[in-house]
Amino acid sequence: MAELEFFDCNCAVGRYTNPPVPDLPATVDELLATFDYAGIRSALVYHLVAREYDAETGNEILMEELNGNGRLLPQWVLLPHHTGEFPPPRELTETMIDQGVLTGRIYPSQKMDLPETGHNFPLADWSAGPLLSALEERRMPLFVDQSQITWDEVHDVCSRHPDLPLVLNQSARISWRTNRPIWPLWEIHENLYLDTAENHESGHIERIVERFGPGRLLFGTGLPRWAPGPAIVAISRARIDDDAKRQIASGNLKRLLERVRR
Amino acid sequence: MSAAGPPTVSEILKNGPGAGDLHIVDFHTHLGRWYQHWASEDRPDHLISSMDQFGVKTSVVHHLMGLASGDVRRGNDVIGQAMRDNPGRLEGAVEVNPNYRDATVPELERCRDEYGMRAIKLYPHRHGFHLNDRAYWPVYEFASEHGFVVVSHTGARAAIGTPVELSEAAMQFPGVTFVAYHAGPDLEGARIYGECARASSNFYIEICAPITHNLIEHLVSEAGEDRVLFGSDSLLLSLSVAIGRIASCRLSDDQKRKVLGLNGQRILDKLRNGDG
Repeated sequence: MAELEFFDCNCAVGRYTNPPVPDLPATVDELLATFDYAGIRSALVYHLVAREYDAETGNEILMEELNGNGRLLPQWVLLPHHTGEFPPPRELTETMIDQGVLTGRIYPSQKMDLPETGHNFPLADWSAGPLLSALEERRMPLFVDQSQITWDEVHDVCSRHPDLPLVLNQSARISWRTNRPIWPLWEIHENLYLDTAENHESGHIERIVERFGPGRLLFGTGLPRWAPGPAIVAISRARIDDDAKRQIASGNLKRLLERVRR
Repeated sequence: MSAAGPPTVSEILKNGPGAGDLHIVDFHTHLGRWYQHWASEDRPDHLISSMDQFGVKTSVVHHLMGLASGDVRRGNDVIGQAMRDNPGRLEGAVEVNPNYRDATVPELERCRDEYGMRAIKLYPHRHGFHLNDRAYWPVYEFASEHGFVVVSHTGARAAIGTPVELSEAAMQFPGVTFVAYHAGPDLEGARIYGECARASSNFYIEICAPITHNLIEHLVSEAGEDRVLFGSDSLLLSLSVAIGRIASCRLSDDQKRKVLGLNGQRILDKLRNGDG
């Protein structure tokens, strides 16, 4: 088959507070060099300052550093609006669309220690509800680390916002062994997706494609913390047909972005 | 593809065995199920199929039943039968549990005599014994006497089962080859595993942990390129994970070939000569 085009849905730029090794790619140029070596065409990218320090500050730095780079699409880290840190949700999504930001990412965890610590807000209607509704109105995909959300919360968000594409990522911590909790959720929710970063069970992708089709999986590496190779080889060598590989490698993410209401 | 010449190791790993020749020895595989998830691939034919898919010539394999239950014998029998059914492809490791120490050496003798198994798998954190605990001494003495290799789950910061504990055993039993599984998961871990490898020429590290980008390069630098073994943790994990890590790391092709198979084959050759 022709070479697969890989479009990474789980990627950050910037420096970790406490990196596992000192020489991870941190700048746009270093990230693109890693992409070229690994064979990745493009990515949604958030900034580690937005994840680890402050969402608004990190999003601003992201836009400066990406500077319209055609291969790296900006992804903002989002907060609810109640404290005034972020604008009202509909104003926020309009600003995002204007600036070419088609997806958001949240870190709602109320845990205190890395890597699970987060921005400390409930996902309940009275807190994150307006933000999630505004994203849902525009069909803007929302990404969240598995370590930041419980399976009950995943079910609640997907139930209350059925037109909001919710993508579960692995970036802060590897949280494989998902089949028992996510299969029943996939039986209920059409708007739930999973990335392909790092660890997964033998036959994981094949069984998902057999049962649910290839539309639930998105190529994601977890760069810069995690190596890109596992996600690439998991797709390029999976025992699934070529069309399914193309969908997972880039087609599913492109389709989600095309559905965003500008 | 590479500009003109033969494909690189990374290209072969990404594109499959048909893309070029690689000698891959997987020093860490399992059969059986696991209590925390649905293991949809758990049988010997699944493992052989996965090895063929990714071009693995030989796998060191043990059974999960003896890791997560008190019954080691049933799993060891599955491994022994799988070796018989797939000659040359599988090197079976006998699972032993020091909680049942009177049964340990007889089980090693049985698996050697019935199936020709020549490796021993330890799972210290689950079984509850430090790797330098005297409870393991009969196992190490058996390995020394009969030319077995000892492989063990380890963790750099584990409460039980550190590479340092295994390193102490390696120093006490210099004629036995010890393999510490799951080297990593970060720079400090690489330094610890590297120190252990440098301290004993019979101490090897295997690299199927959830290790971060660029860490394999540090592990090879710390331990030496001749002391790092490829392992996948399949069928618990997909072989694609470990293959992918090697594909996207920045070792030289010569280093990748050593890690992928040449180092492991050297140990297997010693085992098959009865000199583990």
